[in-house]
Amino acid sequence: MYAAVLVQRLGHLISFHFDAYPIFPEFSSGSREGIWWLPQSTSDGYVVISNFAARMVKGRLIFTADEGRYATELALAPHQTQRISIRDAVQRAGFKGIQGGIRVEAEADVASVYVAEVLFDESAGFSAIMKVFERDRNLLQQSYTLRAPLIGLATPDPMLAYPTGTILHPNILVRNAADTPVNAAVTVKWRSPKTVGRFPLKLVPLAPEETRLLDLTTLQKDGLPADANWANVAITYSGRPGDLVAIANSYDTTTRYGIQSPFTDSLSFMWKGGMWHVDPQHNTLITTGNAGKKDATVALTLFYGENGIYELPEKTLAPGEQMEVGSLIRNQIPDKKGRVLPPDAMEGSYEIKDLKDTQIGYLYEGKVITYKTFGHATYGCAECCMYGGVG
Amino acid sequence: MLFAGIRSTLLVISINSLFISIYTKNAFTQKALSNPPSASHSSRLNRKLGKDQELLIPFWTLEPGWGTQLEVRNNLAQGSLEVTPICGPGRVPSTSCPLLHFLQIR
Repeated sequence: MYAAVLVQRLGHLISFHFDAYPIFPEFSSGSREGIWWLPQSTSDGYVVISNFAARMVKGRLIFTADEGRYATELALAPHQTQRISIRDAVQRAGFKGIQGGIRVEAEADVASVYVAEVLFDESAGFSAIMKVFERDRNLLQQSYTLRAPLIGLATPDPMLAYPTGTILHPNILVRNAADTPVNAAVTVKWRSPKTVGRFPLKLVPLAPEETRLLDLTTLQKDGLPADANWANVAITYSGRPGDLVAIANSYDTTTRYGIQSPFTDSLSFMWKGGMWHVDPQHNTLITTGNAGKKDATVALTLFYGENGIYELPEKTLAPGEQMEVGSLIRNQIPDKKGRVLPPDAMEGSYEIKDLKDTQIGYLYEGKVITYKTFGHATYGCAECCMYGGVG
Repeated sequence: MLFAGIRSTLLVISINSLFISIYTKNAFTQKALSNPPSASHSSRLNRKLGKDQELLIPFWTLEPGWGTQLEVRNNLAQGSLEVTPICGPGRVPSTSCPLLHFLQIR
C-alpha cells in the first residue's frame, strides 16, 4: 500500500508532502539526520518530531553549524508530536550562517520517533521539504551511493511553466553526520534539449559535522551548457547510511520559483504507486535511472480511470530519459498496444519495472508535478515492490 | 472501519493535525531490498504476508487556512485491503479522522 499526505496553505504557494512509512524495529541504535537551510532572512521552518510509541521517549535535538552545536533536551509523551521553529533555534544558538545540520537522538524506541522538516516563507511564496535520513549504527560500513534524479538546472524546462527569464540556482547541500572525515565523489549527468553530458566532481573531504553547499551553477565555467535543463546526481562515499546526507534545491533568487529532487540510496526492479496529474493547471514529468552495470529493459505503465491502462513500449524510457505525461495526452501518442490516453484523463498512478531483472534490480525513479497557477513544482516518490503482484 | 474493499485505487481524502496511523488489514508482502552496494536502510521493507500492517505519517493539520489530503493506494495486483486511518492530535488517537473531501482515482 502507498500512502502520503499533502498539507497545503489554502490559496497560497505553501505545500508539503509527507510519505507514510512503517516502523522498522530493526532500527534500534542510531539517530535521524538532516540539514537546516534558511535561504532568505524571511525563511523559517519546522522540525516535526513525533513519538509513535506508547511510552515517553527522551532524547535530544541538536542543531549544528560552523560555530558549533546547540542541543535541546526532548521529552516526548506517548503519541505526542512537537513542532520546533528552525529560525528560533538558530537565533538562540547564535548561528550566523544559512545552513547547518540537524540531529535527533532518542534514548530508547528510536524506531518509533519520526522526524520531518519543512521550510516556508509566506512573503516569498516558498516552501520545501528537507528530507531527514536514518543513521543506523548497526549497519555495515561500506560504499553507498545517494542519487537524485531530477535536479532543475539554471534554465528551467518549459514544462515547469515559469515566467520567461526565470533563472534557477541549483545547489546541493551535503552534510557529514559522522565523527570522522568523509570523502565523497560526485557525478553530475546533465541533459539539455539537444544533448547530454557528465561531470565528475572530487570534493575536498567533509569534516565531521560540516555542512557544505555545492553550487552547480559554477559548472557552467567548466562547460555545462547554459541551456541544460536537468541533471541527475550521484554521490558515492564510504561509511554507513546516514553518515552523509544530501538535499538538492533549485530556486530563483526570490525562492518564489523552484524545485527539489530528493536523494535516496534505494534501488529496485519495480516502483509503483506514484501519482500523476495532468490538467490545464498541472503537468507531470516522470523519469527513471539505471544504476546497474547491465542494461535494463524498462517498462512504464500509467493507470487511470476505472480500468484504464497505458503501456509505453519497453525501452521507450531510456535510463535518465524523462517522460512528460501531458504530451502523451495532448499528442495522442499510442502505447505499445495502440491505445491512447483519453483527452479527459487527468490523474492516476504509475508503475516502472525492469523486465529483465525481476529479483533485485537497479532502477531508481523520480517525478515532478507542476502547478501552473502558482508556478509551483512538487516532487513525489513511488514505492518499491516485488514481482508476483504484491507490494 | 473506513475504506473497506479498496482495490487497485488511489484514494485522496481531505482531512484535517498531528499524526496519522494507517492500519491495513490482511495486507501484503514486500521483499526485503538488499541490493548491495547501495543497500538501503530506508528500504527495509520486510513485511509479512497476511498480517495487519501499520503505516505512519508524522503530521497533518486543519488549522485555519490549512488543508490536508490523505492519499492511499492499494498496490496489490489482486485482492482488497481494509484501511483504517487513525488521526492523533496528541495522546489519544482517534479513528474518527475528520473527513472533508473524498476523491477516488486509480
